[in-house]
Amino acid sequence: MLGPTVPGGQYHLTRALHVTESSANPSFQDAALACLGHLARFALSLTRDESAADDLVQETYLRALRGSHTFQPDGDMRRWLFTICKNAFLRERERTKRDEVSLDGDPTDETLAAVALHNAWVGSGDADVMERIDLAPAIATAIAALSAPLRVAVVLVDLEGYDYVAAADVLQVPIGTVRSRLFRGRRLLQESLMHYARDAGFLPNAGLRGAS
Amino acid sequence: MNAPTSTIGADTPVFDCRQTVRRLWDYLDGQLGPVDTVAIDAHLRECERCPPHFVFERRFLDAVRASRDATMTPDAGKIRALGERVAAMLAAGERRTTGDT
Repeated sequence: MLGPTVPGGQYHLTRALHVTESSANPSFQDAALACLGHLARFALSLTRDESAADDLVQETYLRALRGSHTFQPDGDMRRWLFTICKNAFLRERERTKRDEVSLDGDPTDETLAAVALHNAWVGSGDADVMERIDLAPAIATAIAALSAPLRVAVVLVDLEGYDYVAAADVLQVPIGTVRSRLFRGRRLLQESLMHYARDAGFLPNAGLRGAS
Repeated sequence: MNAPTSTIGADTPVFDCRQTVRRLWDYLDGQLGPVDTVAIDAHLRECERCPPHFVFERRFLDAVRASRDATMTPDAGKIRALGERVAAMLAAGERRTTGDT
């Protein structure tokens, strides 16, 4: 485990004075490393590529170390690292910019669309399919297929358990944008699950008009 | 449904079905204020059409949450190896920062 790297003694103590308090504090590193599992999952959700996710995690910790003096001792380490991670990811993506079309539509429309989808599930003949079969693999595939802005909103709120305010804080976007992306992401997930259930033969009435 | 509950007051609005389902995700996410939450609770008690939507979407959210470990989690060995690399990197970075070699 990481121990203090500033040894005792007057000479080292003098040099340590040039180091910010938090970066010299081993508890900072311990607290940061305690978030590794969450951060690795978050990075993977962003990159969808294990190798790229590893690089992103390392880049995140590097930036965190450099910016450790900006971390408030009573702050939320995981949220802080997620923000750094997201920023690092976006900066990297800027290089191969594929501009996102407007993804931030009306959240209310997306909510109503989800209700319409439920009606389609009912019309398909088995609205309880989610209780009967293990959809985890299909959900994983569907989440991975979402565009990055939608995927990150879903991961933060639905997988990491963040509320809208915390997710907006991580993403540095307005709460309304989080809602738009989250609700749209959920609708697209439901559409994907419906196609999966239909293709797997779980829906007796496979017409599904209006499902997508 | 794990809906928050509280009492209806004189200022509690009366929501129709459309107003209720428009707030479906916010309600299920626990993001509504107490007034709207009470109004939706009241509507769901009286309405026959809306509760199935809320139950269905709650199941959907539960399924997504249940998929978490099976989906987006790198395997433990990878995380361990990554942790070792990060720890070494942080230690090296710290040494550079402090001037140690």
